[in-house]
Amino acid sequence: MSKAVIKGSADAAERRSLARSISSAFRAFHASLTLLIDPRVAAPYLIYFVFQMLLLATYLAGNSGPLARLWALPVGGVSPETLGHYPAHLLLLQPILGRVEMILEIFLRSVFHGATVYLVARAMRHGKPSLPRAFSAAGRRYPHLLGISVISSATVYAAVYIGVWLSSDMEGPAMYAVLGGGIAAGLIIQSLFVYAIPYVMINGSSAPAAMASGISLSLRTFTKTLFVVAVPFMLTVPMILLDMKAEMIALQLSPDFMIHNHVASRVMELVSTYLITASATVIFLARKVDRPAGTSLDIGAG
Amino acid sequence: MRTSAAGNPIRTVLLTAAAAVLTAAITICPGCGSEEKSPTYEAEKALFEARRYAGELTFPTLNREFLDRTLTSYRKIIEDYAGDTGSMEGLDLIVVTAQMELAELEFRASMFENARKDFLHAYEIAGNVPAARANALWSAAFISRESGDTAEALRLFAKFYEEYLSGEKILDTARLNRRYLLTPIRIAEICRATADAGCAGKWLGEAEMTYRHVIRSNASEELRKEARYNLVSTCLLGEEWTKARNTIREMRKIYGNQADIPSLLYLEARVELDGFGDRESAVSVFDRIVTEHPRSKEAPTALLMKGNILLGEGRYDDAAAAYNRVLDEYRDTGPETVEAAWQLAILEERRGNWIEASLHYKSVYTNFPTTIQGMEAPLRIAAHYSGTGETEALEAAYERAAEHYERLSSLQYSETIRIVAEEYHVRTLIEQERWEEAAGRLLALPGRYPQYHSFKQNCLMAASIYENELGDAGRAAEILQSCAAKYPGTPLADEAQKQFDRIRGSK
Repeated sequence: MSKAVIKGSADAAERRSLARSISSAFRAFHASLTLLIDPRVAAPYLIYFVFQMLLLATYLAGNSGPLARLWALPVGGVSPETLGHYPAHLLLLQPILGRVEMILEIFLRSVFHGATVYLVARAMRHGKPSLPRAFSAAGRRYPHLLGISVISSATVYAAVYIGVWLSSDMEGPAMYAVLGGGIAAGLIIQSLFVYAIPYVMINGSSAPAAMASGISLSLRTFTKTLFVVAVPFMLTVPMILLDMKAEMIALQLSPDFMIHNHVASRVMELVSTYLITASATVIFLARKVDRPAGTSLDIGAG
Repeated sequence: MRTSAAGNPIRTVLLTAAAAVLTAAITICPGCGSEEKSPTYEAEKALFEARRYAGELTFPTLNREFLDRTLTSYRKIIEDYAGDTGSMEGLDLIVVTAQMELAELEFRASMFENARKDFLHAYEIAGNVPAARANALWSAAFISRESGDTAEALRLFAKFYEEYLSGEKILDTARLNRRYLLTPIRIAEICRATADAGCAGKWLGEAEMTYRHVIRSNASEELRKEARYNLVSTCLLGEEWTKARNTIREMRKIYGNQADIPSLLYLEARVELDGFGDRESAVSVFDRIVTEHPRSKEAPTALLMKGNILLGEGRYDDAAAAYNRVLDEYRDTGPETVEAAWQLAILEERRGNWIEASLHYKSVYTNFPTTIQGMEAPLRIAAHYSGTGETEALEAAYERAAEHYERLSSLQYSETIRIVAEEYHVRTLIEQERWEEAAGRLLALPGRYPQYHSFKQNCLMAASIYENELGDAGRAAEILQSCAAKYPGTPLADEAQKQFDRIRGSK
């Protein structure tokens, strides 16, 4: 019996057993956390977090002149002068930085995802993780990473946005059900794309091939992969709920709450993103993946 | 030299993590990392904080500590930014807003003198904010009238009239706030109160001219209606009964809807009663309100008025029926219910049914303790026993009254209620001729209610009690001397000094 057939039947067995899927997902989380023994693995996301904090500091410091005009761009109906006023400046922090970060998420963060996948793979294979090499490798694969990022982000945002749009005229349980449906659809879509970056970074696949292979792998390991995406997402749920009421709390408590809330959200996002990326890479590497001819990426090198 | 394999990654990540933590800390830390914002931004921030403190104040049971914190926040904004208003756009609006909110807060906290002073200051600095300037001047005039300073009230209302209601400014001013239209009526009322008929006549004339100007103008229908109501009030105040009745009837033709008719009918009934002395006609109009507009807010008042007319004529059963109808059908109307219960007590007392009357008085002070009738009721019971010479019952009635006022003076009630209860308590002691206790209480009240200026006068009354009732002129002189020293340069100090000199002179 070939190894592929054995693997296929193992996948089928795992899909049928919820307990096995959960256990497998948690083994992946455990492995991801164990990898932090070499802390360089987490460095790309930490650097991105520093970048997010610097962005926040720039927003807080520059609320007038050309910077204010720049900040007002992503949010319609807000004049730059509004940002010069208190508490409007702080209350607008969430929508403005949210949209700026959405753009950065697509165009910049994909490099950090790629670098993390590279470092996790190196650490898994007991290689010596090198941050410059990781970023260099991710930089070389940028067009593919960007392609995946654009498509996956667009589909995830679309699913969540449709839920928000459909629930906007609803109230009570129906509203929460539709909103929850949108978020669930977003999580499923994210699960389908979660292996695409490992395919690009480890197997050297092109973006379309990586997405096709990634979706195929995700469907074969669907329950486990959904857990890998959903459990870290749950860590961010309290912050998402808090975000929904942040403005009201800020007006009652202090508008500075918007800053604290933003920082806390980014910390939770840092933890969650690392867990998803690292666990997906762990699962990916734990499988036998045929490397397409001529696309070798020497992760053992260095 | 090569570093160890373990040293390198840890250093790299520790550096990154340290940078992340430092950036987050600097971002969160208020005042760190971010450059100094513009004074306008900082002033808005300070105003937001002051408003948040003000939002935390609960007025029925005012916490002085919280109030002081809020007042200080507002004062600090004015102090810090008033000097920069000319140089920074938008700063003047913030300072004026803070000044106005400070004055409003002081007014709500019964700090009338401070409130008036701060409103006048707002008037001075609000040159670029016309709405706030008008509001400040009117509020200062209003407070002057409420605190009995009629000369200042007259001066300020007249200033307001001259600045905002003369010539073509009337409509713009009325659009800011319709109550401003009442200014000439308010002045006429003050003139009336000071028995200055010439002054009252002059301002009633100004009032009529103002309202007729608005009625003839192309102002909104709402504003013209308001002006017509004010015209009726002017006629009533000037006792021009026929003119008042004609205006009301004209209004009934113009405003035939359900909302206006009951109030117009009520005014017509008052004209019949107060102007023409036609009680029968008044009762018939009051009946019409109750029959045709039973759900209107005028219906319970009409029943009360009808009851009062019938009570005055000695038609006790009919009057009682009117009062009982208020209690049965308009139980939730508040002041009318209390008044109906109170009037029933008076009615039964006049009929000679003391047991019934006393039960009504008790129900008034039990069910509506914080109303003025609820304050008055225990002393009315005492007054009855005093009249009949029932000493033991009288003593018990005073005891119950004192307990009632003691309870109402506790912190669970608003300061206004506590002050009224304290005044009734002193009255109880005086009626009981417990002079020393009354004087002691009078002297303690200014310290307990430092914001209530009327209590400062208590020293004169306490001195009078010592001199006239207790025969202790020395103690009276001592009180007067300390009073003059405590409030130097005030009319109170002058009066205290005068009384002090008189006592010393007679010695």
